[in-house]
Amino acid sequence: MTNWSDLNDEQLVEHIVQRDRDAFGTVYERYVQSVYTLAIYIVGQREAEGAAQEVFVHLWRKAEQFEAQRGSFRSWFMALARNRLRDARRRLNYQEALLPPEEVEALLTAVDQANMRNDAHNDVLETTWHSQRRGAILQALQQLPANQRQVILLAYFGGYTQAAIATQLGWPLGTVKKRLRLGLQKLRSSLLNRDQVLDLARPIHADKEP
Amino acid sequence: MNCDWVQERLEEYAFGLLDGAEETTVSAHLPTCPTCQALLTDYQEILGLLPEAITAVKPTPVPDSLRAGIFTAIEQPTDTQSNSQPPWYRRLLLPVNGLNARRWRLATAVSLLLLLLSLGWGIQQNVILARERAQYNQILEFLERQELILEIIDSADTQKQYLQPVTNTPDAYGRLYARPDINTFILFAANLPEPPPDQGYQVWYGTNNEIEYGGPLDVNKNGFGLLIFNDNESGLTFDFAQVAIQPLDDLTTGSLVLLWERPKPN
Repeated sequence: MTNWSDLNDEQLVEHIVQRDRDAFGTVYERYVQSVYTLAIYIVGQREAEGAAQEVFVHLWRKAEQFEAQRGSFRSWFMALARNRLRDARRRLNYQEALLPPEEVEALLTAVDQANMRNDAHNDVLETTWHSQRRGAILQALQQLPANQRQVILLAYFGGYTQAAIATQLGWPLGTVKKRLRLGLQKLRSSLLNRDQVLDLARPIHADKEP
Repeated sequence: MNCDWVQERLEEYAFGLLDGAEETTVSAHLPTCPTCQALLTDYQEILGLLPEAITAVKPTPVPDSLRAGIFTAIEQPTDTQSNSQPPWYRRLLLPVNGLNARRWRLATAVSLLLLLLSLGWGIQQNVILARERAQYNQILEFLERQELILEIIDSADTQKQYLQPVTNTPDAYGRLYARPDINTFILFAANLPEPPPDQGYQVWYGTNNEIEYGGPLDVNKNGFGLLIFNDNESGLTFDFAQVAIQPLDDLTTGSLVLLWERPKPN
């Protein structure tokens, strides 16, 4: 009997292509929290469940489109989820971004405080692969200048265009573009230097240069 | 196109924030350049981790009904043309969670309606319309907005706009039908090449400041497709309507195929 939790994402997808519901259920359990959280931010509380459902149903029906040599299942699936959610948002005719400024502040505060909590958590409990990865990305986010972190969270979670971010924050558009670029570049640099997260995000047997 | 130009835009591309032409250019460059592709892969890996990181610091309870809804949905039979939708006669009855159910049902049902009409489309238009009406009468009884469709296409107040080809499909064309007192619009296109299996035609419309998604344009084997969509306002208040061919799982990239633009004042 297969212990599905022992398989990595890429191995599970191969079974999902064969229409294995247990494998699909395992992937669901691994990603539902991330997808649902993303749905809350992009389409709002009221539509989040339906939109998240659509994401997973799309995965079930299009799992064969995943190509392991092009990157990890995580990056592929989260990009797919975000695109489907943004598509759902457009079909809902949402004119404005759903993430109000106070929610952004709360998110930034949570990220700022996460490092201290995460250290305490790791002191007391485990240092699993997942908590290490989360800790690494959170620390990398915290190490960004606040204005770069703000732009990244607004762009990714808030459904803001760069022009909308510029309007919201009162910055020139060129400044927003620059901070978005620099922020993502610094995240990459930070995570490569830690020699953890980008390798942890890739498939186990992928053969790629960092 | 050189890598410096592309890499200056890769971060925006990873976020899905590039505008149409630049996005298309970057998309075209990536398969030809392992360096740029590897850099984009790194960015996508990082962005893919953000939801997990945010979930850890700001968890949101997942409804118990979500799993049941998903596993019920994947049990639904799919038609042979599209694995993402049940057959049209079930789509008329099944709710679509989180979406505009009426618009979706009508758009897909009428798209299939046109499959039955496609044989007549190569003949002269007056003959086509006569045949269409006869077939409409048989099929429209299943549609909940039959009268509305005919009212939009065939009334004295109908506004008709012509969509011109903008890519290497000079024989393709489209028409947009609107009425000043109705917020439902009909767009059809003809002579469209069959899209690759992983791509599809999509309809977009809007103004210079806002772009709206009209919906998918399903095309039959004769290159004909029709879409019915709604807007918040009645009449032709938008400045453009277009048909683009795009990856099915990425509506942020693609190429423009047909375009109508409101003439700009001198």
